[in-house]
Amino acid sequence: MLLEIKELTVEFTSMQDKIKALKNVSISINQGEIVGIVGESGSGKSVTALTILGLLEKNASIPAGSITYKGRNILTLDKKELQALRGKEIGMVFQEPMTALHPTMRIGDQLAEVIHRHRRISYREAYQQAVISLAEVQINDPELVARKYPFELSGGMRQRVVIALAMSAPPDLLIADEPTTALDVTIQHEILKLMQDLAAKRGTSIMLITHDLGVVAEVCQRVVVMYAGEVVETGTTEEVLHRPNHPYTKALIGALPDLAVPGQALSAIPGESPDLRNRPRGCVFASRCADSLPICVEESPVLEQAYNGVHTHQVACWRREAE
Amino acid sequence: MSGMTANTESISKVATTKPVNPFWYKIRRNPLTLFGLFLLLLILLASIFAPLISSYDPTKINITQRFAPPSGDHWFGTDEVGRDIFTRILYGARLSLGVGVAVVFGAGLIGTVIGAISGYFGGKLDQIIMRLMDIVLAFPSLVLAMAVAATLGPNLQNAMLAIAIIKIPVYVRLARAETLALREKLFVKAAVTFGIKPWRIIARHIIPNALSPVVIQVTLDIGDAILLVATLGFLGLGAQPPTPEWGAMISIGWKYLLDYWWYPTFPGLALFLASCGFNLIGDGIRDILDPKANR
Amino acid sequence: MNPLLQVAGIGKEYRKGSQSFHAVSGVDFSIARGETFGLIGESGSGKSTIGKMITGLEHPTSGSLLYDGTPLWTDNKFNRLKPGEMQIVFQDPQSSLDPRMRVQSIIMEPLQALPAAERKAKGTTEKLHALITRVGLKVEHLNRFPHEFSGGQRQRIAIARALITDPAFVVLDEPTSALDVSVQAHVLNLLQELKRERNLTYLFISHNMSVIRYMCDRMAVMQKGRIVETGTVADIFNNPKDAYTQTLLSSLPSLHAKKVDNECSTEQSLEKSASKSS
Repeated sequence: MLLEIKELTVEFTSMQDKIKALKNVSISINQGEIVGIVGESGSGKSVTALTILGLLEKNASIPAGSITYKGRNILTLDKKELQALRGKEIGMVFQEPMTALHPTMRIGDQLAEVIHRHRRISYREAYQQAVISLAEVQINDPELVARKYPFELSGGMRQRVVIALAMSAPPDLLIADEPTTALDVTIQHEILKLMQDLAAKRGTSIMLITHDLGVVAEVCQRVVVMYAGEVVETGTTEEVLHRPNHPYTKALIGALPDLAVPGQALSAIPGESPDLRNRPRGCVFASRCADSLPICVEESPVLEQAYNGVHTHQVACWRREAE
Repeated sequence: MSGMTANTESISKVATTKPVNPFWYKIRRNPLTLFGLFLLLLILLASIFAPLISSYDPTKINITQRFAPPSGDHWFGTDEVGRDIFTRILYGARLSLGVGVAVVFGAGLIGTVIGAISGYFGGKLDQIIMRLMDIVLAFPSLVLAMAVAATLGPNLQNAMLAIAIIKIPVYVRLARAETLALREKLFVKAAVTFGIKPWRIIARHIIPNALSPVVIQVTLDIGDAILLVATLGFLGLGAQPPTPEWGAMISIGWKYLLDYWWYPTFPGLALFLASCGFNLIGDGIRDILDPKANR
Repeated sequence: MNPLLQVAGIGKEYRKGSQSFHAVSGVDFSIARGETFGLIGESGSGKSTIGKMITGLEHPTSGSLLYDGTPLWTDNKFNRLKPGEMQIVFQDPQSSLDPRMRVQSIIMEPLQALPAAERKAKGTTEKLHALITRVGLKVEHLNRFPHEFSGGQRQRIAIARALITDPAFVVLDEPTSALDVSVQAHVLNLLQELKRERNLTYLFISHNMSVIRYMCDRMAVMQKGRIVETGTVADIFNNPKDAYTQTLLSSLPSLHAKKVDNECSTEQSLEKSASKSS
């Protein structure tokens, strides 16, 4: 196992309020695997990524849990060790490529600098490597693009550059937070394909954070569904998307217009996400759930095997179908 | 490493799920602002309750008591005609604070309206207004104020007018810059699609939303305006004797500095504390309303 | 029957010095009364510019726009034939509501453009209360400020604001693109219901194929300022003729992408759901 998050809890203190952004989150990623973390805003999917990267702000605290990367607990590393881990071992790609690029530095130089630092080769060699890595992210005419500035490129091209940058070390784990959300669908398709190919070629694991179940279906082997800072369901993409067990996952799929019949109402989830300052005592989804039981508001369910015999598929629900 | 900025941004969004932003919570955590507030409150209360604090008349001449040094009777001593300096400073505070606040608020209001109109309509009107403002800004402010005050005649009203004139362009520019950004906001565009008249859009949407930077500038400028009033007073272009005005007091008092140090020192100190107080508050308000400007 | 909105050879050219850029060129389509017409395209396709030209934010540089038979633009002047007849809902409810206004003033704002008598008739407290509850908010919400609401609630406020004048035609410019999936479902349902109740005609602008498929009767696919294909939604999804439309459809990430792989996934899922419902 490459990365194992165990019962992680993260809290933010904002003035007088304490916000529990993550509660008992357990996620594991194997070597070479693409795992989708899917959830809506406030589900804690981005906080999970930032915790792994050690990039939480000062007002955050981690009262419980561990994150083991290659046998080391990341949460106990100091700043320097984390810095070394980021970029070299763990690459990052974010939604807005412009934020990851130096605005007044040529693309080739940005890449060469990082390669030069990570691989301990001369700058000249690093620059040649940079051009090769641009070709690897399917940029036509990499020499020309290497001489350009970020603002001269389209959004899709920029994201390719960021992927080249993130993969330059090359890392063992790539964390991609909504990498295609700001892009057009046709480009999104290409970028996802590119990430998938690169990961397969180099054996890189990808943690793909997204709100889009379609994206998950397209590239992920496994998926973790998060809701209000908790993992509610996890399993292979096939299992979770085609045989969802948790009412939230079912509702989320049902709310998509993709499969809906025009003229018929979409099955929308009633109510709003719970207030993370005052977490409900029982299941976080109970108040919006159509089939909640008395126990649902009393006690939180834990992740357990969903459907007998499928050990990869787990769900946190009192109504878990163990047929 | 690249990507760091992205992280801090997204995390701050996560951390403050709801923007709780109590003004007092932030003020309390900023000791300098608190100190400025304390200073001003002190000066303000002292000037309001001046008749209760001091039993002297600020303008009554008492030749027998001239140049009395600070003592239990006269805390800050007396001046060349025996008036109590402490009392004159208290009454002078009314004038200085009142004039400073009035001038800057007036300039802020007029400047904001002109700037919003200029920015919203753009085109030729904008060109003309901005060139006019550039002309005003091209002169050193004190020189221009002196010229205006001298031309109109040396009295307090004209000094106020002069200061307002040199302050207006700053607000015009500020409000115009904000307006240009606001004009692109969807709520302004929405109002346009509804068919709302431009003047109404300016009054309802542009000015209220452009006010934050103006308020910051106003608090920062009051201290400056108080100094300017005093400067004009010092140069004999402002309030005329026997009005208790800090600048005028310093102007006469500085001649006696070597023999009767208290005469110019205390009005000077009052001036320093008042402008200091406003600047500290201005900084504090800027930090709260516009946290980005701090970095 | 005459179309409610007729777009004929419309174009928008931006000039900067000697350079010119055609954001929209030669676009034709018409929307019948009671129809939902979808305009789909990627960023820079010119779809939003068309919405702006219809609502009076940008003037066309060529062609004509007829609303109910009357031209909307004469030269660079927008003819607001009947204020409040046509409204728009924008993508980002974060910036489309004035942060310094209370919900009540926000919703009532479009009435300011109406003649006094009409303003009074449409702006009664009962009507306002009925409208706010209709869009799924509460009467006590009227006193609050936009920042106190979630994205979905803000979009409901924007919808209420668009409906206060009883419009006949509403431009929906990516109304759910900034919202979570579960919130999007609520808003789309609301828009469908309101359309039925109030006999509205929609122009639905979006980059999302599934949303367009679900919401619209007819649609036009835009690329680089031009329409590449127009037709009924069923026709375009089942039998896309233009190469670009085909690319768009095949890049659409679908829940069944893995299973169906190279086949046209949407077509299959359409059939599947159709058979399920029957």
